[in-house]
Amino acid sequence: MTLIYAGLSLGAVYALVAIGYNIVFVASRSFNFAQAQLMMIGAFVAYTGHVTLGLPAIVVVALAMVVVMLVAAILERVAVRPVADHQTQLITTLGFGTVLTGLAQLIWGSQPLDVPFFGAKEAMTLFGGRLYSFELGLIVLSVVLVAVIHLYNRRMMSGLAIVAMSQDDEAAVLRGINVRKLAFAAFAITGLLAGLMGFFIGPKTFAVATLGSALALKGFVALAIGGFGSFYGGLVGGFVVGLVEEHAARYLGSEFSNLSVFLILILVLMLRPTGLFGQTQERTV
Amino acid sequence: MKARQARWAALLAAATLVLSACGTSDDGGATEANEPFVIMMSAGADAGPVTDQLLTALVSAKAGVATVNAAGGVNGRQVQLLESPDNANPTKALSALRAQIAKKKPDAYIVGAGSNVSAAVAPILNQNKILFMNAANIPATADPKQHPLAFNLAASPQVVVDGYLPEFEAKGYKKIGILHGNSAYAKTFGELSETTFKKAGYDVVAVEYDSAALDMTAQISTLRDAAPDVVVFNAYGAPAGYVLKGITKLGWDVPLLGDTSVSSTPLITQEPPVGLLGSPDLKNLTLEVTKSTVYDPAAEATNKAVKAMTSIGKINGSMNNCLSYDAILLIAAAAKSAGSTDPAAMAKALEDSKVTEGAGTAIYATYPYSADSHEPKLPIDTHSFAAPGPIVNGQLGSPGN
Repeated sequence: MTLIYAGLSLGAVYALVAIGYNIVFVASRSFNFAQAQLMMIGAFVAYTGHVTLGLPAIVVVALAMVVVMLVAAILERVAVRPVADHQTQLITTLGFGTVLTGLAQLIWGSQPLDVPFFGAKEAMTLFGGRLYSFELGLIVLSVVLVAVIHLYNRRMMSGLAIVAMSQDDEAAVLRGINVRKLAFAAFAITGLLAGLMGFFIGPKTFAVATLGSALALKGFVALAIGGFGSFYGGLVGGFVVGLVEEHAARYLGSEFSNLSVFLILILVLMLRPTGLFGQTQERTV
Repeated sequence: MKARQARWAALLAAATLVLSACGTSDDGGATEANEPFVIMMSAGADAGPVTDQLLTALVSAKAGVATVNAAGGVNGRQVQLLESPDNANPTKALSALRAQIAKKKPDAYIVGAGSNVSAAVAPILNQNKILFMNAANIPATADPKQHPLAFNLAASPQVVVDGYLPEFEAKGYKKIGILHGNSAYAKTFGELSETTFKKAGYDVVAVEYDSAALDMTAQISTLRDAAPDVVVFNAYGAPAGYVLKGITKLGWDVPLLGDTSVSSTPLITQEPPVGLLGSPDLKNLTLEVTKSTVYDPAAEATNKAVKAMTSIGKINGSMNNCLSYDAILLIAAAAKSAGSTDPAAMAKALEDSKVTEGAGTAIYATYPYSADSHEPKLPIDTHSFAAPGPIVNGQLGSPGN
């Protein structure tokens, strides 16, 4: 059971990255390759709030969310909006992520920093398995976030507008939807959530400048397994990656850990090229 | 006939001009006393997890240069340190070295961190007959047959591994668990530990982890199932924290021996909330450290080096990161003994134990090289074991605490 918890909590980290990728993908059909770095900034801000400023947990969460939202807004203005096509945005967001990594290293240094968690510090036993409270928090957060985003996209007018944009942005404009404003809002919300995610991820991974690059690839694999555009898919994909990684490391050896993850990815893409929960769209030619 | 001779003469003159223009201005290592002795060094401030090591290596090299220059330089020539801003990137380091050689060949080269950089620059340094002091050990630079002008500075993995045997004996451990990463050094450490401990008659179980992994639960579970009496582990940076947190999470009460990479990790040697020092995660941990990492008021050379380094910059991690200080002092001692700054003569001098013993080095008291091996054959007591504590100015128990 301990190994399952470890896999799920690690998978939740990847799923949170995938959620960030998906929000931007659904809203603007582009990938934000700086998403993992935004979460890394969230972890560092959480560290500063907790350790340097000694703020209460709720204020630290709010601070991390606001700071990363502002960073994400700058990202949209600097690296996304001036670029016309989505392919180029892959490069510009990747570049912005590299800048964020460098800035984090300049501000917080290159060594890992221990981010305290507001819950119990000791590991607990749950259904015969051992896990930390922040690991449980990560699993719960990823599930709750996906459920909330799903409901938002189905029940709220702005959520429906985002879904409409993802299906046909020209038609959405004709229906009076402000596409540019909503795309900007998607980035800002991604930042807001990345700040929240950083607060939960930091206690597990430490706040460290290399965190972004460590998360970016596995988050993308989670998304590819689950299906681009599907929030439940990203969640399941993240859990699959985490569980496969842990079980392969345990029973086959750590050298088979990444190998097994990419084998699963290839298998999924061979059987379902759109991912487990991805939808094929019909096109009239 | 005369016209033909004139044509040949003109052609010869032109060829001479062309050939002389193609040659470099390098004179094969300037030896005039008024020219500086140039030491090039791999450096940078944006090298990911090895940034601190690079920065500290540079501070230690600068301190070494200041010490040597204050004592009259290298055979009267002032030492000039030339930074290669490659951030431990082998491609950039190689380009910078080639560019510098084309401009003016440096007299010596130092790698403070990054074995990939060592592997990349070693052949070029060898080809151009440049003395190479390498703190990021690779087997090739320990072999004088391959690289006669290269010298490893760090203790060999064998010395590090042998240092555990008296500790096992003293504590009565019979079964040893080894947990190591998958970097080049970590793999060597793991393989050598397994072989050495088995040869010494211990039961051994070794588990490797991916240095980029964010969770070590699986690897620690594998080790726990084998029920070793002690776990020897190797980790630098965040992985050291993942290992310790993972062991605490599983509630596994086992003695832990962290190697020198663990003791060089600030996360382990700083108190909460910044680091884990004093937390339950470290209650079973003992660190393997070099003697110079433990403050000793009687260690004059080490204390002098620490003073020189802290007057220039910050020592991040332990004294293990400061081998470049010793590199500069060894170069000066070799030149003095050889009476020359000719690289081959200096290399020959470094193979003489009297030269390295009298160099005034700080991290290790001596660097016993030989004509057969350019890896310092350090005595087994070079390393000792200490309880984790705050490392300030590179040392445990430093008066700076």
